Amino acid sequence: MDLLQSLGLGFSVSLDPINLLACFIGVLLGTAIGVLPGIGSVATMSILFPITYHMGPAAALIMLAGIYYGAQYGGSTTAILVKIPGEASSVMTTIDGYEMARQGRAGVALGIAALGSFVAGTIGVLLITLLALPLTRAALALGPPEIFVLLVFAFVLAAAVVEGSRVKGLAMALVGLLLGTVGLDVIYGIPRFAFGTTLLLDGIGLVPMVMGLFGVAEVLINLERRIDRVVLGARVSRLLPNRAEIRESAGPIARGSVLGFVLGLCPGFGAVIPPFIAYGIEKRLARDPSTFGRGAIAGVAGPESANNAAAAGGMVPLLALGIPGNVVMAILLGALLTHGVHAGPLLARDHPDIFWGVIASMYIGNVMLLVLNLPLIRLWVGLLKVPYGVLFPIVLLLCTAGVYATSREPWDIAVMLSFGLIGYGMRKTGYEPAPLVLAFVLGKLAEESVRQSLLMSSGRLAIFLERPISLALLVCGGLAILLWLGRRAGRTRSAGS
Amino acid sequence: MSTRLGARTIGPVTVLGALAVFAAIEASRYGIGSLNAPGPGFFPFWLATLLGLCATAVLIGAPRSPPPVMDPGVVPFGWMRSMGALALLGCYAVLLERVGYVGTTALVLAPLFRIGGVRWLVAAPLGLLVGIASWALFDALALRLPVGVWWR
Repeated sequence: MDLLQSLGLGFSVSLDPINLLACFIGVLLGTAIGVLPGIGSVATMSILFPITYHMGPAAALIMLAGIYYGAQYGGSTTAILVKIPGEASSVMTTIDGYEMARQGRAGVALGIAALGSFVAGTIGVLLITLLALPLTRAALALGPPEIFVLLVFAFVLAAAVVEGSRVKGLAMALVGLLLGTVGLDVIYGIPRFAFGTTLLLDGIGLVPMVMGLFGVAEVLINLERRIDRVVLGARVSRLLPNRAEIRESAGPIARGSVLGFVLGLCPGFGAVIPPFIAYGIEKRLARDPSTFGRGAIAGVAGPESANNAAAAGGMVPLLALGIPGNVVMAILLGALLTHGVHAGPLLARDHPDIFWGVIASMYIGNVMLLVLNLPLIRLWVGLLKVPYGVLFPIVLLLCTAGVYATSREPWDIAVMLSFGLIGYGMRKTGYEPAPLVLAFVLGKLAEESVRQSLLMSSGRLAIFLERPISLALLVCGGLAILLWLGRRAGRTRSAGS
Repeated sequence: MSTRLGARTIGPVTVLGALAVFAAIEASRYGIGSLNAPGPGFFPFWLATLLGLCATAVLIGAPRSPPPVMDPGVVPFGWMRSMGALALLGCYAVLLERVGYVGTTALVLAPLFRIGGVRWLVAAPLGLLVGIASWALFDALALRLPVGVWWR
């Protein structure tokens, strides 16, 4: 099947009324939770995870993906009107977006954020369309040693890009891998870390873990904080930017789109890091950098485009290689596995309807978001006025009922609460939960591939150096570590002087 | 050094170290095997060893790391609200199959709304309303939730 035929199949799948409805619900919910601070896309996807059991795999994936990229759109609304990022990826938008709102240009800021997001999302999906098949073909050449090295590379990158200490990030990835070994051993069938109970034979559930670490922990952290919101909603007028504003934003949108997509491909980056880099680049390229922080439209257009393109880029490693680059992708992988579908190089061949259906749905989803976002701005402003004291019990209820509905086991609620407490402790002490979840999801594959590699080579570790792809990945990983150590040494020297 | 090595460093490092030691001992019980025939304990044993090294590195690096930034938005004794909410969710897990979804939701949500600053007079009926409305929603979504053994 050539590219156009495949895309045609994708559109016929995504235009199916059920899938279209799933896409609409996904992007609508995604925008709503992106608008609401304190509820992340990860928590929402986890909450809706059990509902997807009753859907087909294509509809499930279309809806969950819609929540993710919808949340990137919605996050900007809160960042601009309240100066609180609805999503972590909207942090940079708070700087100039809120300034624009204070100057009475909230409508233009929202308009350019939506336009930039639409352009970047569409460019991102176009690039997925072009890249996914060649990557899928290349991935078929990967054997256990290459897969293991690729996973190690992903863990190191995921640990390296966390906020704060990299060693802590690495420790969290190791804890995630260890938690992934709970249950029956993949080769010998021996129970490990099960403590004599049957409840742990299948391992720890992904849903209770993610809901605890992200949903419950987020609420617990917010509960001990004062959340003051000053909504500048009354000042929203003239949503469409004029010609000069569009000219000023075109460059930042194009650069943010390409940068976001490329960074989104790298494991661990997600949609959070690219906006920071995009903002830095725009400030450096600006004719007058002093306008940044005082309502520069490029300070909204660049980061907003970057986070949406990164959300699209993150889909590539998942769809083509079966390797999720961030927690959101890990949940999507979990949804596929629940339906008995294995993501990876064979997905495009064995399930072209799912593979191309999801890609095509992202084109449709981006159009839906552009149509939804601007006319519904008053609704989002109204949503922002719901007090957190009313919102958080409902979030906790959705987490608890969602976890129970997954397995009908109160044990899973206990697991979720335990991880909620662990996540709360981790936030308090500067440990990030994202590398833990990423490593947990990939743990089984990592163990299988390292044991198979050793069996293949009769115990020779040199197998990881002898194969060209594996060697190239090891060199890339080594260079990344050296680069990080070099930057750290540079920072320490400059701090010392 | 003593000022930097506070509870926020020592506590997690102790937990990570203890987890590493426990996992290494437990993994060696399953059989580590050798490089050409790795056993069920092989992978967790080496993970635990690396985790132990990471915990040591965090401890060694702590005096050189920047001091923790205190969140200015945290209210005094705010943690009590968080722990109260967590305890109520624990009750939810215990009561759910006995009392049923609507009853448990109403019982637990009312004090949660109260924690969020809603007056009791509003919190109690709001809890019941959310319980009934969410039951109807989940039922429509084909999510099966318990009616409670007492009502059967």
